[in-house]
Amino acid sequence: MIVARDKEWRKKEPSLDDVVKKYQDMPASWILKVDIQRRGLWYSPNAVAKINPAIHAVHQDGKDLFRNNVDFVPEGLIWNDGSYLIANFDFDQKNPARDPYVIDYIDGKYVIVDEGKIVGDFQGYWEKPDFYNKKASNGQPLSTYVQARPQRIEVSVNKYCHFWDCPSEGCKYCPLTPSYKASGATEEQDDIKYMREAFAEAFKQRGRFTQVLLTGGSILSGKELFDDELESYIRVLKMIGEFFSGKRFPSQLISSAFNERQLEKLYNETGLTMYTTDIEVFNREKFKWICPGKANKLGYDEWKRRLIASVDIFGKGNVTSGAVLGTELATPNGFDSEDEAFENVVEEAESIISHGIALAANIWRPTPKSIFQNQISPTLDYYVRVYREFDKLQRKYITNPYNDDFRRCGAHVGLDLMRTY
Amino acid sequence: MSIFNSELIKIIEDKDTLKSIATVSRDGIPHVVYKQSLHIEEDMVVFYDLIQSSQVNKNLVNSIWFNGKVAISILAKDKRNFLITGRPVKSVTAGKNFENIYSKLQDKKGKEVELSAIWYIEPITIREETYETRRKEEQEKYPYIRHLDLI
Ligand code: SF4
Repeated sequence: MIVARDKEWRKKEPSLDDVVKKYQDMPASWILKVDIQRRGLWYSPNAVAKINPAIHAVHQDGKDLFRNNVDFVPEGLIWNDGSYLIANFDFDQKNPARDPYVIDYIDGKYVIVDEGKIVGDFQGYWEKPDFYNKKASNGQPLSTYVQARPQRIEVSVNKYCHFWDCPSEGCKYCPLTPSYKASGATEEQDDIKYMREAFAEAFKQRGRFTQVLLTGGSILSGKELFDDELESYIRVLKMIGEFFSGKRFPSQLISSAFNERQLEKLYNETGLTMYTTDIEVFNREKFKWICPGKANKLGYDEWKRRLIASVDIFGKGNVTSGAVLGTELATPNGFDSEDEAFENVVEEAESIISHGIALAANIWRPTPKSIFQNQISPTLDYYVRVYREFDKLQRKYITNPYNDDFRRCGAHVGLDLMRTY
Repeated sequence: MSIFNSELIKIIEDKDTLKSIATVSRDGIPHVVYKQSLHIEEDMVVFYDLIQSSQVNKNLVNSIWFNGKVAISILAKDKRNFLITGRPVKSVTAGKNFENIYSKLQDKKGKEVELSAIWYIEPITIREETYETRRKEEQEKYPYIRHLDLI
């Protein structure tokens, strides 16, 4: 059993019950999802017995550098409302700030338990795609090169982020490059030949995938900043484009903030339909502290300007921006209170959403190996309050990013809320 | 014991039966659609939603989130009709079962057909709404709620 390092933590913040009662216009099952991401989750022996690696996607399959432990946990859960919840995320399993929720299997039902009480149920674990059972021509499992969520097929093109070339410049919440280094890996990119083999096999599965996602760490080199990163994505997108008869195919790229010339090249030379560049933190000063590499190489204002400029190229509804929500309250340089953070974050978020950009904001869990690893994330009340406000703004400015919604991702739960409008 | 009797299951499975589902939007606006895929599986009403951006999908999500109800009207070819009220409890959007239904739908209706979700409705009440049945019921229960010239 995993036990919180502070035994009194429940007395210091509103409970799940309190928050559900306070925000009656927000779905209770969705609030639970938010809290699972915030606190983490663990598995009872009954729940472990239900994990079948022949059927389910378990962590050994995906080579995900956002989780350090290869411990066969399910990659994700399917919620009763048909949405997904990624479950392979790392949290401090030795001394977490809060007790994680426990997944159990009782009377034929998958349930979520907290303090011995059932607080919710869900459909089951994510199923693995057929291509996870196949190997590339070099004998490696195809899942080494391409990974899958229930309806999304994805590839991490650059496994190393060059903002870490200067050790103090990596984003403080991010475990990608520290995990890459710890894994002993040397190849930053996989051979496109094996990626192609994986995609060819994956696309044979009828009714499985609705979108292709590309992402990866930043590459700073090139004639202009990020030119080499751009080229590596174009190369992979062109290869994927060969599988489709039309020019465009449902796809998303999460990358560094490209300038207009780079964005036009990306749009014109590939079949990409959706572009995402992550603003990460909704405040210039906090961004400078938390994402020093991004701040030094480009700066908050230019990152944001490029994000907004990309709407002119990809169109309204086809641009999103991610954030690691909650880091704005990290110590010692974060906001002093959740109220102060809320005011600032919402105001800044509106200046982005009003351009037709939806926010794919993730919940910050102080992740092992990241610089922020021993910090404490904000309360559940804070997350629900902020997401509720984002949702109101997204409804006002009609951002609807169908290609980054509840059925493609499974991480940024805030965009689930757009399912009813 | 099943909440659905075999007669009603037979009516629901008849291809000439009309099956509609009424839902309510987040803003309280009612919406009715016909769902010929509607059938019974293990005491649940099941149907396929083929369009992700459909209003019925949005309304069902709203219902599953806030414990809302839906109404299902069944009209048999002999004009007998039934009203089922229920609660959406599950929406399947991925997995082997989803993929099988997706393939079957395409094989039957053509390659253009998409599948967005398989919805499961847990029934709460079932009531026959056929005019003759309801008229007799009312006559027995309220014999004096009538026009005088019918007494
Ligand atoms: S840009 Fe920041 S968040 Fe993205 S991979 Fe690099 S260090 Fe991590």
